[in-house]
Amino acid sequence: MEQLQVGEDLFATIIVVGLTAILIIALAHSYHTYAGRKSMYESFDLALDIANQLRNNVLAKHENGACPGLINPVTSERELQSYSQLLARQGIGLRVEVRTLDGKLALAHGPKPNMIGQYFSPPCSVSLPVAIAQTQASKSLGELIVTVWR
Amino acid sequence: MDKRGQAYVIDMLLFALMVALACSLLIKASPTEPNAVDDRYAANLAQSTLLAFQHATAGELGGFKYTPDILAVQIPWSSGERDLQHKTLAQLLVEDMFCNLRVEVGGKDIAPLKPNQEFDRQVRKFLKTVLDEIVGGRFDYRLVARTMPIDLSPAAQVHFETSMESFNDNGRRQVCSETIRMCLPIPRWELLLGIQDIYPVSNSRLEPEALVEITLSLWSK
Repeated sequence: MEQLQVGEDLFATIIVVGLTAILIIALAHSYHTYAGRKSMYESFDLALDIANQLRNNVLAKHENGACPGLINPVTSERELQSYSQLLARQGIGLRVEVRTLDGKLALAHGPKPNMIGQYFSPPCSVSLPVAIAQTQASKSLGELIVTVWR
Repeated sequence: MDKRGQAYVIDMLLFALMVALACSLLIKASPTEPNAVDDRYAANLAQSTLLAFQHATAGELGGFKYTPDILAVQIPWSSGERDLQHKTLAQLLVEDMFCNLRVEVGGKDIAPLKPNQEFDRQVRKFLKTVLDEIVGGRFDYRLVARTMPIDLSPAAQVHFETSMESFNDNGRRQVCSETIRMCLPIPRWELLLGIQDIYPVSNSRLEPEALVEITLSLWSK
């Protein structure tokens, strides 16, 4: 009788420990989902801020001053280089692409994000419409695509 | 199972209940309101679109030509066609306004100053194609361009309003609305001459600059 009692207690303990483990895993998974969503929102906010900065300032410098919304692919390379170095010092990776509406690449800067390497902090992309100064007279419509990762 | 074992299981069930509650709270809790993120992106998209409209030229989007309606008589050696490929998209919209200004007296339209409805139709079609391409996939939109009313007298004013949109019903949530203002590129004397053909107005009554307001509103799909 005594032995049977010990066995039942042991059985109850195993159930308790098993259930506890399962619940802790569920809690950890919920927290991971929450943290992932939070990180995604933060990355999106960051990408949007960077895209704004590029559209209004870094990529919009022309001979007669800054012209927000009008990308100058010729003179932007150096500006973009120093801006991405500034971000790199804060641990932020940056890839910038400017494409015309028909998909032609007008400007590309920075490495493409490595999806396997960025498993724990996936890259986040934002695209905004811009005008691209091709010559003095012709300015085409295009898209500024900014990808950031930490 | 003795009493101690039963107590374990009851404790465990209570613990499970609390953990399940914590999980559901965590899954439901959002670090940011998803609508706030949408709104912020939409506002930036609308701003960018309006900025791009001020710079992108019609020539790079297939060009824009039209024949003014005011030429009632066909001239055999000239098509009368105007090529506006050098104009930006915003300038096309502003020119559309200039070509279709209306005089309103006592709440009723008298007549357009320069009737050019075909131009208005073509500009709207052209801009709608562009908006469909850059905004249409993400949000529904409404672009409204209007002149700030120019008062000629307490009862009379000059105005124009045009709009293009990607949807018909109003039951959706408006995500954002962005506005830019531009000057109507029309010399004061020319505006005065045009208005005086229809409505007597003195030079002193006319405001120095006619303003145009272009508003882009985005709506959730």
